[in-house]
Amino acid sequence: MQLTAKDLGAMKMPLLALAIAIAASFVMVSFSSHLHSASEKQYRDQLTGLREARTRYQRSGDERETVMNYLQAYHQLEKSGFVGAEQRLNWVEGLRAASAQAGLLGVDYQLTAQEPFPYTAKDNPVANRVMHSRMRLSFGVLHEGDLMRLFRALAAQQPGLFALNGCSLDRAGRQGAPVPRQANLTAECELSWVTIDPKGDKS
Amino acid sequence: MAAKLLLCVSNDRATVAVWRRRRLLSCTGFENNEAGWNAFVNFLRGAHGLPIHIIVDTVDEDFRFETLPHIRGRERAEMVGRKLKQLYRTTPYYSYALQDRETGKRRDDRYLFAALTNPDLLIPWLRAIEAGKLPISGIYPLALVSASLIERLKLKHPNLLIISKNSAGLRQTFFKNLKFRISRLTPLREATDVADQHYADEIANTRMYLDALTVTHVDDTLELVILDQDGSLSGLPAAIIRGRPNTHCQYLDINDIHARFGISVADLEASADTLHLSLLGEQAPTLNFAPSYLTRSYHRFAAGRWAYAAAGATLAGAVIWSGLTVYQATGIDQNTLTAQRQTQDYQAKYQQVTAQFPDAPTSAENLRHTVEIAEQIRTGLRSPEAMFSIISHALDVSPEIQLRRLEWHYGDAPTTKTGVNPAAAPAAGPGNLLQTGIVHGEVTRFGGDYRAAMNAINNFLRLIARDNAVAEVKVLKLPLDIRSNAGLDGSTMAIPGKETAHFEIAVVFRKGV
Repeated sequence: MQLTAKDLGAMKMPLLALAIAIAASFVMVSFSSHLHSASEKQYRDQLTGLREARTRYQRSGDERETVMNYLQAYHQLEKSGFVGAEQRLNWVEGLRAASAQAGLLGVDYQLTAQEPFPYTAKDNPVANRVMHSRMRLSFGVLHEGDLMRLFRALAAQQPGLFALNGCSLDRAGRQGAPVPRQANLTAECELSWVTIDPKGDKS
Repeated sequence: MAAKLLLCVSNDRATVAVWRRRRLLSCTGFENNEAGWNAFVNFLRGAHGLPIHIIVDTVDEDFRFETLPHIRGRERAEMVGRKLKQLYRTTPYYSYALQDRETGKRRDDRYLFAALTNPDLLIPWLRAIEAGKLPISGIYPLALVSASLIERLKLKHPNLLIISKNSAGLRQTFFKNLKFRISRLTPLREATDVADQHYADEIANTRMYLDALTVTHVDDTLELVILDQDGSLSGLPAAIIRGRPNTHCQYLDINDIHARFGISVADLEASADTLHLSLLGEQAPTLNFAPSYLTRSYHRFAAGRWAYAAAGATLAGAVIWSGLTVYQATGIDQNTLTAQRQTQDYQAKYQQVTAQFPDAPTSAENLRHTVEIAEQIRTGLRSPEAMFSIISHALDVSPEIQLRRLEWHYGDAPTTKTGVNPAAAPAAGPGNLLQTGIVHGEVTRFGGDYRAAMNAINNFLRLIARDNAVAEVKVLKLPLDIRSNAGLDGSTMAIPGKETAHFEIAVVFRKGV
């Protein structure tokens, strides 16, 4: 059976009604489904919050123990410069004092920009907040003992936490026995000044 | 079920009824004359938009059976169409129904062809319907409308004759093995004993005709169903059995019909065609006389109604779905509120407890993790002191060796000079850090004696490797490269004492040292 203009005319209103009904149904179903999904998500989030709040409350005794056990050590770390912003002035001053204390003729230094410290345990949640700045040192020493004397003196100054990454000692073409009060060896070292950003919430 | 009009047209009159909610509501009769047609037009004005189903009850009808080859689809339609046009040239009201298939080898199809041979009968009524713009669903012969009685009355006899008294006359419809075979219409007589005998004779004639066609045998028992709406055929069963004893009569009077079909007695009394109108209301036969141009408006009407129904069903489904979903969402929101209250309770209790804690700059977990990570970093700190010590001890007992340069490295990626493959180096982490060193030295008092120099260097290596902290000592460069896979050049004319015996060795410490 071929459709005529009369057939189409007669079907205009019913098809329009059907199209409107389908569109309205789609809108209704979409809107209600969206409401349902949003409610479910909100409920899931709330349940997660409830579990966390309950667990935190139940572990508040342990938490108190933790605070009591670690607070003093934490304050010590703050004082030593590990916790908080970099204390570059302290480092430079500490280096100068250590150099003088070790009897060195002078130490050249270069400090790089701060970057994440790679040698931390990744299972520790604050590992990604540990940062370091590399410092390259160049100086002359009478003998290899002066090198360790410098770093011991630097550690004694407590300008911050540093880690030695590498050192080299070079005779730089000098032959024979060491000469007193003269730089017989050239030393180059790299160390990392390590700090942690304390931006964790107290809650 | 949607409302519709039911019309029964005979030579003298027409009866129309409204069918709504599976019930016949009222019957109205119209004479087949000018006044009747006008009254019918007026009646239809009140039934605007209802589809109309028509029964024709007239002697001007033809039923015949034809056997045609078994084909299907479009070819069958074309073949049957040709046959119908050939049989019924003078009327547009004809149709066919496939009855069954022959049992012979060819398995031909057996068709029932039927037609209304006097189309003028319908003209005034169709004109009125057209004026009222009512869609015509179909035009059906009364004989085939009777077929639905078989199911309603649960009739099973192989030789079944249904007798009914309608406006047009006495209708006899015979079913062989529950399939339509023949139908006859006899004019009515006044209700007297003579009439009963007249009808009985007509029925006897029908039986003789069936016997002559060998559709039945003279000894076959015939099941006779007499539908007597006005009570005028009460004497008919006795009159029939007197003529042919091998007849079983089932007589249904107006009360029986009312009880079996649920049609009100008043409607049954209003018209002799009420029962067949009701049967048509319930189920229309498949054989439809109406040509396609007549039913086109009905198809439009039905399609429109389907579209409205689909729209309603879609909307209702969406409303129910959305309602349920919103109801569920409301329930979830209630649960969320409850969980929120519980969370706030726990938070308040926690605040009360933590208020008694010592004042801390950060959370307990942060305190712990910060102290632990500082400890871990401190534990991992190393200095070159251990290496200096090992090298010094080795130098003390190797006076022929003199240092030129000493390198120490602590980290996760040993220098390539040590011979350790960087790709195989362990991943970064405090537990995987290694101390490595490179010693650049020379053999003093060399004098061109490579063998002695090599021995001195190897001895120096062994002294270093002897230390427990050392995992591996490897030669990176010798005064004379004696490896087979490397080139070698030099001069035997070299001046002793002017040649150098430089070497490089790599020292790898054990993990954890």
